[in-house]
Amino acid sequence: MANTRRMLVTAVETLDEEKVVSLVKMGLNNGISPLDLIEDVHQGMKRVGMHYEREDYYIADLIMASLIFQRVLTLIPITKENGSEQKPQVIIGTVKHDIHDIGKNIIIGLLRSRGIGVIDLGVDVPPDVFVDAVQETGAKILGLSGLLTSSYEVMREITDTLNKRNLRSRVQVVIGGLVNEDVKEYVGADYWVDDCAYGVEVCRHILNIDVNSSSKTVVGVV
Amino acid sequence: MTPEQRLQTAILLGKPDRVPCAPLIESYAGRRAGLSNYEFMYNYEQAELAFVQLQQEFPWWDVMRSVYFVFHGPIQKTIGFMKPMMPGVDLPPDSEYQMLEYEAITRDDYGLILEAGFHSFLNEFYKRVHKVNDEEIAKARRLQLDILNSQINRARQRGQTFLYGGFTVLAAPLLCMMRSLEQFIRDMYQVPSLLDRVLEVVTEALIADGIASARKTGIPRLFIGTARLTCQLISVPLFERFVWSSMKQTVFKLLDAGITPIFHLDSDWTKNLEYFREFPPGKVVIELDSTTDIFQAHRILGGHTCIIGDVGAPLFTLGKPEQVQEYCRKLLHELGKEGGFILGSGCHVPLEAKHENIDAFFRSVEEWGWL
Repeated sequence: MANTRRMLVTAVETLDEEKVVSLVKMGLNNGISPLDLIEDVHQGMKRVGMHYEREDYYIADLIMASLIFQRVLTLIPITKENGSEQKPQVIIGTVKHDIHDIGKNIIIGLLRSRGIGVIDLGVDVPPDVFVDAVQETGAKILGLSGLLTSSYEVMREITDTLNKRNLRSRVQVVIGGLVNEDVKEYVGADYWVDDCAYGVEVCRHILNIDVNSSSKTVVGVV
Repeated sequence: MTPEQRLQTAILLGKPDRVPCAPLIESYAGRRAGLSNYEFMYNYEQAELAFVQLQQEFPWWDVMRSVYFVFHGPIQKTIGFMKPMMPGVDLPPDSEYQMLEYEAITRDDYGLILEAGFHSFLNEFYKRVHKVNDEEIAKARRLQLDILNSQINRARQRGQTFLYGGFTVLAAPLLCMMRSLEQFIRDMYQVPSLLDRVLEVVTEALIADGIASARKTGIPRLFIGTARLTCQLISVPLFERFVWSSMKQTVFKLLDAGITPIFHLDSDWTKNLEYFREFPPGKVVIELDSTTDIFQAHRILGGHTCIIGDVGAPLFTLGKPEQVQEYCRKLLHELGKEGGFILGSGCHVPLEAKHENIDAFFRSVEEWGWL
């Protein structure tokens, strides 16, 4: 059993999706607990993250690891009963009138694979839906994605509404897509990111998660 | 100098009398003329009137740099490489058009490409994605060529030159758009040899199409779309294997045919700029979209590769006119003074650009563009 678990960590680290799938199935058949298997996958993900920090892995490698993680989740459903569900800490969506979702989906996959719970609001999301989600969940981070310049007004409307509803101080607003420092200032956001891997680091920083700390055996699912 | 002489001089790294002015203006022209974006995207005649009006306002706009012939509504809805969401049809009339990212082809389709060839596969792709028939595909192809020829002729009639003699996309980014980014990444890791073979077939077909298009229009320059797969995202070995090899092949075959490749470099190419030094000097053009550091690009490729760029969408939308002018002045002084530079927008001028910023952009050419 220990050997299977060690091999699983290595298979994730080397981004061997089919081997990961086969080892997870083998582990479940041999009675290894789902939580232990997820912990092993997280260990592998942590090693992938270290390769990225050392610059011998690229964003595509992180994406590949996140795809493997998502595949594992189809084999090991995350439930309250097995104790692996986590309260969402990040709310993300593409703002109204914009349907671009590549960057949004990638960062959601990366965050979840690093053990951070995420609510995905989808695309073309009206401002009130973002604000209601902040109020209802108490998430610490609101991620607003947009690749159109028309997104800037919508993002600004969202931060204005957060202010009006006295919710702004409860949440850090991170914008992503076709954005820069000027857009961040205009929108009234706290951070801007144009790179998914950096976006994950920003979220970890906000959540006070040490980049080099051990992953927890919990994942967020929505 | 005529606009065409000016353009050719810049491409050949020479010093024209004035820096050529080539913003990629499409939908913004329609908005400025009072059209909805639906009207602009679906009514070519009205789109042309919008271009005329804008050029009359700004006679320094001497290089018509347009891919309207590719993104015209009925064309995109029939022979687009991705499924589009169009203003007035799928989106509100004044929206920008957008593309749906999904797995439009599967890994099994690679077998189809290898068996039937890319052109045959492409017809099946159009039928599958756009729900069209052979007749509609043929009609859209004719319309595309008609609009391109008309765009060229009308640009010349109003005293401009036209930049592109045709349009293509590099094989890897094209398959990436069809497969979706995530699935294409999976393919690079899991079926690299199969992907090599497919890319070879697709590259050959796209080169042939590009050469044919440039010959039909008589403009020996080709727009080549490249997106997503830079070293910002993928490793150097993956870039060299799946992108650079077909890029090199495309460039050298186009050059053999007397055609200048114009690479539209979306996203951050800073880490990949050195590769362009492998091409002969003065033979290739790159367009930067303001994500790549254009000043770094000039340090690496100045005197070797003509650069077009790169006033970005955020600056056009949120900036003040004096900021736009200052940025253009910097581009014209630092990149333009030695030649080999064409002032342009970074990718499209956004629909929401402030009118006063467009005025400032063109004014900068008049003030600081003369050499």
